[in-house]
Amino acid sequence: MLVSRTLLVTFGLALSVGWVGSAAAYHTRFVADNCNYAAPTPTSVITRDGSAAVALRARYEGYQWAGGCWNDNDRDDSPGDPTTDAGTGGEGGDCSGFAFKVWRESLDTSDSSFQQWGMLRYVHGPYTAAAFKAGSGAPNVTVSKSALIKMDALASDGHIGLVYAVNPDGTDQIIEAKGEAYGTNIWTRTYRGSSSYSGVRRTGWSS
Amino acid sequence: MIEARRGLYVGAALALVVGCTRDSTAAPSTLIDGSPARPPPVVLEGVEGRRVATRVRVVAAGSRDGRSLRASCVPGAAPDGPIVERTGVAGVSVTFFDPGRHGVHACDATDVGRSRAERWCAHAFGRLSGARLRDPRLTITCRGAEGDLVGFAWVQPSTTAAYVVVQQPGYAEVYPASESMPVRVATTDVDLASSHATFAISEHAMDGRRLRSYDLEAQVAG
Repeated sequence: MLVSRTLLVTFGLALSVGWVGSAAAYHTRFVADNCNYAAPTPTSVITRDGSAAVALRARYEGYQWAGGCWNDNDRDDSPGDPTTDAGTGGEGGDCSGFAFKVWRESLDTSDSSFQQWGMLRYVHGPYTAAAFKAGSGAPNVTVSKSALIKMDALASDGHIGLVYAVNPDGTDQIIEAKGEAYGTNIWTRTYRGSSSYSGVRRTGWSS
Repeated sequence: MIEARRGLYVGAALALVVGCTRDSTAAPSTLIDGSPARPPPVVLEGVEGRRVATRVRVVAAGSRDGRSLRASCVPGAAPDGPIVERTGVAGVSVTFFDPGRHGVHACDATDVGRSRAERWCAHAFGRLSGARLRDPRLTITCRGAEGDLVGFAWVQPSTTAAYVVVQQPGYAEVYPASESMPVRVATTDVDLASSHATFAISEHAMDGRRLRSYDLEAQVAG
């Protein structure tokens, strides 16, 4: 099943040359060798601190465009993947895949329940950063940036990062899957002050 | 006796499945807004079966209608160039460049009965590199009237293409290319589990000649 899916994706990417450019030749076996398609576990009591712990397990791991599977060895196991190529099979989530998994959302956009996805579960979810920014999906709402607290998000049309902590100077420590050259980590960001970014909240937290 | 009954049940079930399958693949008689589904003006090489032409409308961004469209899609946006609105069988979309043409926006809808401000079920943004998108910017957050997922993505046709054809179950949906802008296409061939959609595409010249055909495997990303 996994093999056939990988072949399908690879075949499709090879055909759609206009989208792939020079990146088509690069592949790693991280997803093929490590990731799974296990069903998520419905979870009822979810705290913001609990989701922060989920996010921290992805810290120092890689970044993969359209990805959503990582281990916890604190290094990128597939560095240097070509950017914006979904078929390279590398480690890590992209920004929206990371947010989806850390917020423990359902694939069904009308379902606001919490779903625990395994770290090595290969899943991206149905949302792009732009979709999160618009508050798409039953669990997600837009909120004023001044109201954002831990594990809320700042999203633009092309990126989303989660608030890990608020700095005294008004900037934020953002935990995010930033890009292939950066991986997933915590950085101090000024997204809150940027007009490109909006506040987004996953609803339903226990605390 | 039991075996005979079981055979009847199986037969009946198969008949139902076949019936359902035929219904679900029947060529549509209307576009999503209720207007008649018409064939394209040319014969398209290699495209068999029923062909349905989507409708395209190019709206000046500064016109009253253009301002309304962009305001409902991306409040505060200042489009560079016109707004292209496409009406197909499964949905409606608008596409426009952002200032300086560094990127392109789209909003997608499957419920055209709503007001413009409420109808959009997806928004996509793609950065342009050398005037081309590097990713089709798939959205899968829209659902049709019967709850089926509808995926939207951009196709960037070759410069000589006049038509982009997307093969759908039982028919082919034909999109006129326009304004050197990516063409926002729709499909119901969406796999939610893998956040993925497949678009079986062919591109055609003005006279209908097929220029190329390919499967676009699009993934939700970024």
